[in-house]
Amino acid sequence: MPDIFISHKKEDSPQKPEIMEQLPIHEESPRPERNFYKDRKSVHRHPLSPYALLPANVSFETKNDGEKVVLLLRRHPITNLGWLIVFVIMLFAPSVLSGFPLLDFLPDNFRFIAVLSWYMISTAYFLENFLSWFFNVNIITDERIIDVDFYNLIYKHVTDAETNKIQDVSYNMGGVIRTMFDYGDVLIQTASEIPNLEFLAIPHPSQVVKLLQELRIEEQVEALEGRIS
Amino acid sequence: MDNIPLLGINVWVAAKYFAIVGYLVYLVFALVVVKQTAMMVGTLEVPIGRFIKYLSYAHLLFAIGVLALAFMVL
Repeated sequence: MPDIFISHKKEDSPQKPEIMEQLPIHEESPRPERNFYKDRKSVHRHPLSPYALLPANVSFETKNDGEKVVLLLRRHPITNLGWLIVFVIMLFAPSVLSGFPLLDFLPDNFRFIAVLSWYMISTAYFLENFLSWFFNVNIITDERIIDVDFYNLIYKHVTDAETNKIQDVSYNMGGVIRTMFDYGDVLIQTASEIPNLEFLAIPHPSQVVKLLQELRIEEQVEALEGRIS
Repeated sequence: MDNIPLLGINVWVAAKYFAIVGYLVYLVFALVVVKQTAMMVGTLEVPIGRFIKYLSYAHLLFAIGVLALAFMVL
């Protein structure tokens, strides 16, 4: 008598449910190249350039794999004029002041060391100002914007916001010098935890705003096409 | 005439020690600059990062040199 309660053995090859077969298979594929890069050439005249578009060999601490630096910005070089003038005055001060009897009360050995100390302090002054200018940067990548600030000798502050979180971008450029040398401040309002990002005294602010706009549009297009998660 | 009244210490000997203490403090500052530069170069990696590091080392060597000279000359 056959046992009607014993179920039939399943076949060896498991079949996928019908609904699973209809779903597209998501394989790990490289991120498609953005249209943004296609019609742009790298503008990176020298390593001290304050406006480096698509710079080569530039990276930063929190860069993700596959993330590309689109724009590296520093304060306009003209903003360094004040401390550079002071530095040049400091360099020539000992030779100019040697005609005046300022250090005559000191013995020769003390006078020699005093002049050396003066040059040492001048070097530190130059180094601190240069480092502050060179490393206080604003970075725009194809995914986010980053503001790197070094406030004093050992304190740094890095802020970033994703491009799709940008809500509003504006810039201001007032005054004769700023208009002449084409630099200004770009203010970015975001929907992330840090509501505002400021790119201060950067060259070509209108181009930066335009570029950010293009990146935002591209991000929106990608979101619509479902290319990003 | 170069002695400090009451203490009887030579002014220039006292000045020498003050100067050396000052240079030691400066040496610490130069070390902080080296550390700071290393941190900055780590944060932003650029082709001339190594050159900037060497610049901070040169500044440190300068500070050490002046300290050594102060010991010898003063």
